[in-house]
Amino acid sequence: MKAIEILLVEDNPGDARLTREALAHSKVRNNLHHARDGEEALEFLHHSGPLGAHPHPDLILLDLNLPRRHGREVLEEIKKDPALMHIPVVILTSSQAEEDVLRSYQLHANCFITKPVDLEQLTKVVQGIEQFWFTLVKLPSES
Amino acid sequence: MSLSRAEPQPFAPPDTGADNVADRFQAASGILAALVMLAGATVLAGWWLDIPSLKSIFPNMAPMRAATALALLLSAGALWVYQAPSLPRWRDQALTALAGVSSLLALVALFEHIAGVRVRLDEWLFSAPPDPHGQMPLSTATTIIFLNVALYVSDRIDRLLVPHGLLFGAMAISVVNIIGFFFGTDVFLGLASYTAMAVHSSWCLLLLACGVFFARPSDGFMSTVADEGVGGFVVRRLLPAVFLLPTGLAWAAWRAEQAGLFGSNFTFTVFVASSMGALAILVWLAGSLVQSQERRRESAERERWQSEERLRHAVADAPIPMIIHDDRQQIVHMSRGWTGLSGYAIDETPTVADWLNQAQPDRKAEVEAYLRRLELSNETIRAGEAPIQTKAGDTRYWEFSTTPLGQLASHTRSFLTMAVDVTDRRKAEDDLRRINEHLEQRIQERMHELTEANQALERQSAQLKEQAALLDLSNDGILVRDLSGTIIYWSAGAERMFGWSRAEALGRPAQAVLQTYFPQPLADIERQVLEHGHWEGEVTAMRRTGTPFPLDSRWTLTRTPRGAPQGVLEIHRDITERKQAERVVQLKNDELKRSNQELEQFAYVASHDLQEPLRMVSNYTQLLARRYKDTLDADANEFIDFAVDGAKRMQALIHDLLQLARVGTRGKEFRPVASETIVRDAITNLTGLIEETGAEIVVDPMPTIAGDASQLVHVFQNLIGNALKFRRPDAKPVVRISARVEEHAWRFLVADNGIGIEPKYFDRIFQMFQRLHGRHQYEGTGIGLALCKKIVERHGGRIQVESQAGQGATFSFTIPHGARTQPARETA
Repeated sequence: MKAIEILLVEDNPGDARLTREALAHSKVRNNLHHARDGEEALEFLHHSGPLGAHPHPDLILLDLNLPRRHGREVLEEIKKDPALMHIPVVILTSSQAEEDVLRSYQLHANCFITKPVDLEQLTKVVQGIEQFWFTLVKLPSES
Repeated sequence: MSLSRAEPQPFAPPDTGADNVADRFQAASGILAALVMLAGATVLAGWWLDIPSLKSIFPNMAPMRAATALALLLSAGALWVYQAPSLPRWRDQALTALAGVSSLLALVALFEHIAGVRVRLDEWLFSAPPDPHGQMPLSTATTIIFLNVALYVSDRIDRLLVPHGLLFGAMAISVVNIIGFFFGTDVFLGLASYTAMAVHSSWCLLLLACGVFFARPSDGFMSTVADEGVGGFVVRRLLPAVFLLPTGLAWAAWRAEQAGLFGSNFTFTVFVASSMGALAILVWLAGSLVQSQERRRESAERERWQSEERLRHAVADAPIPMIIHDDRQQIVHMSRGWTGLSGYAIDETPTVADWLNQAQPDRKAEVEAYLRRLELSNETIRAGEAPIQTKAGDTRYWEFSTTPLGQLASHTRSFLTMAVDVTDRRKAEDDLRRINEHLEQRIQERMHELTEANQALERQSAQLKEQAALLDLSNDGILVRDLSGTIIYWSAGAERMFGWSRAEALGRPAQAVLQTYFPQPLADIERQVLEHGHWEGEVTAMRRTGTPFPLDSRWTLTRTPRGAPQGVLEIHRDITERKQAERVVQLKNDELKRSNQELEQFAYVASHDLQEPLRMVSNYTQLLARRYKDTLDADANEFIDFAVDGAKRMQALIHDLLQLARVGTRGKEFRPVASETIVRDAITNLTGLIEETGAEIVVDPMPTIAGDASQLVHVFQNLIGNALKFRRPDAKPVVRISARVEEHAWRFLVADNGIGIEPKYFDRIFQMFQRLHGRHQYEGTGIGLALCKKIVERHGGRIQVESQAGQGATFSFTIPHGARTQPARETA
């Protein structure tokens, strides 16, 4: 089975590490790519694909509060790009603000998750994401 | 000769003066009385003074006896009284006394003669020497008695036969005596010579008898003698001749016989022949007199008839109303004008009475009285103006006057009544009077109107003065200008506001004084004032010092009483201070908005940036614990738990604070919402806690209200959550949620059976971070109720609590009706 490609857009190295830790115990084999800001994330995405240096990610974990380019801009860019718009985007942020939730879904985010304070719960969330997106739902195959 | 007393002539001509024959007779009567009195008095004086020449009056004659003289004097006095008509009341008594005494003297003499005794009255009276004859002759006494009786009865009996008979008797006796004296014969030879009457006594008695006749010239035969006509004329001319002629002829014949010219028979022949001749001449004279008088009368008659005929013609043809009527009120002539104007012809109104009946029935009595007055007058009488009724039924006004005309040919008195028709004049006068009255009335009305208008003006003026005084009290700058813009009123407030005195402002154009800057073209404003009568707006004007300042300006069109636009009343209010205040408020508002935005920004940033380090602390502490579990001791694990717990509480705090900050700034618009839905959402959010505590939640029917649903969910969630949190450990928690309507709001109640709250803490629990319990007992940030309070207050309501410690608590809050809709009435 082919390994799952995941793009994590996260400026906080702590959070990035925690996500990596949580995914390390995953039953699904995965390659985690880490972008530290919005600019970097878009750079990565634009150079991915069949003709790029690496394939499209199968899932994008996107934080909102990012340096250089805000997570919303990244989301908007992805969902406007015909080559990228099919990729599920999970907003994984520390914000609980309702307007952030609403705005994200309006920009066609696929789901919105507030990062739990509790590590146990965080692990569960990450594993839940993994299970949902990679075992439960059918995603379009790479062509 | 008629001996009946002449009746008073009803239409006798008025006295024409002393030339009247009757008057002359009366005057003669007086003279005769005076003469005889003089004679009697002379003789008595002679006896008194014993002067013989006086005693006999005529020389060479026997003296008159004193008693005779006295009786003559008294008789003459009686005549004088008798003939004088103007004597007063005592006239009758005087006449009776004089005639009585005189008669008594004569009676005494008569008694002497008849009885043959001598009373010797003369001697006794005047101590005269005894007279051989000694007494009043019988004829004298008789004549005196006749005279005095006639005088006495004349005015007392109607039949004149008695007094006139007596008088004629007296005259006859006297005349016989006189004539006898002429012929030197004793007439009464047959009687005693001493009874013969002396000649002077005879004259006196004859004169007295004549005097009595003359005194009443209109009585009996005297009426003929004193007649004004031909008869009287002839009698008066012939009578003296009748007396004188025979006497003269007889005396001449007698003297010739005595001189021996011829014998006594021839004497008679001469006397008869001469008498015949004289009488024939006399008769011829009389006839000739009568003839000439008759001719004169006829010619006068003819002349009168002719003049009457001329008068008749003149009257009949006269165009003015005229009638001639006689003293029997017959209308003799009537003028063409009279008939023409009145419509009545003479045969329709033959008498004055007929005329009055027809034309002046109302004035009959008046006119008849006026005609009677006319009968006694010789003057023209003006009867004045009177209405007459014409035959056609119209009323005309005639001004009457009547003039006596004298006798007509028919010997009746006549009158000319003329009328001037003043109908037109009268009508003109009436018209004029009416016009005058109308004018007068108009003037009166006008005066009244003017007076009223004046009073109204005065009232108005007083009112205006009062109003002006009131206007001066106002701090507003009030001015009135006419339509051309010239200032005609400038209040004290305007003086203070603009700095221009009233004297400076009045008469100047408002725009020049105020130098107003308008927010819209002035022409538009003027048009609006003229069309709608009103304009108001904020303008900027200039004070005298040149400082511009803002004004709240209100313009009102003033009108004349008739409604025509007259001017504009401008009321200006200085809004400099208000403007400044508004600016300050605006600044503060801006500042507040900015500060709110900053706060919001802060809260938002906090939600991200404060939580991230927290999560790092929490997550890595836990990762540490998980990964190095085996190498860490129990203390290390406990420390890790504290760190994680602190991080979690910190996160809750931040979460609640964030919500609190957003109540005002991020709230949604109020919309109608079913409050039951809100409650159900809150309950759903609390499902875990409810299951955990086994609580019973009762929801009563709830209304629909206007509000921010998501915020209200927070309120209910907090209140229900608190109710469960502060439950009694020994009892199943029961929470009852209900609503009731009040005057201005809905009141929502959340009642529990929990531990309750002491009243002294009621205020404190709604303040931020105020906790009543230790953290070890009940979890919480101390922000929940503060958040509820803030949300309720944002909705315009109030939140409160009712409780006793240990007896549960009831939190309630109100949501004003505002734009409320009907509550959803749920049938439970």
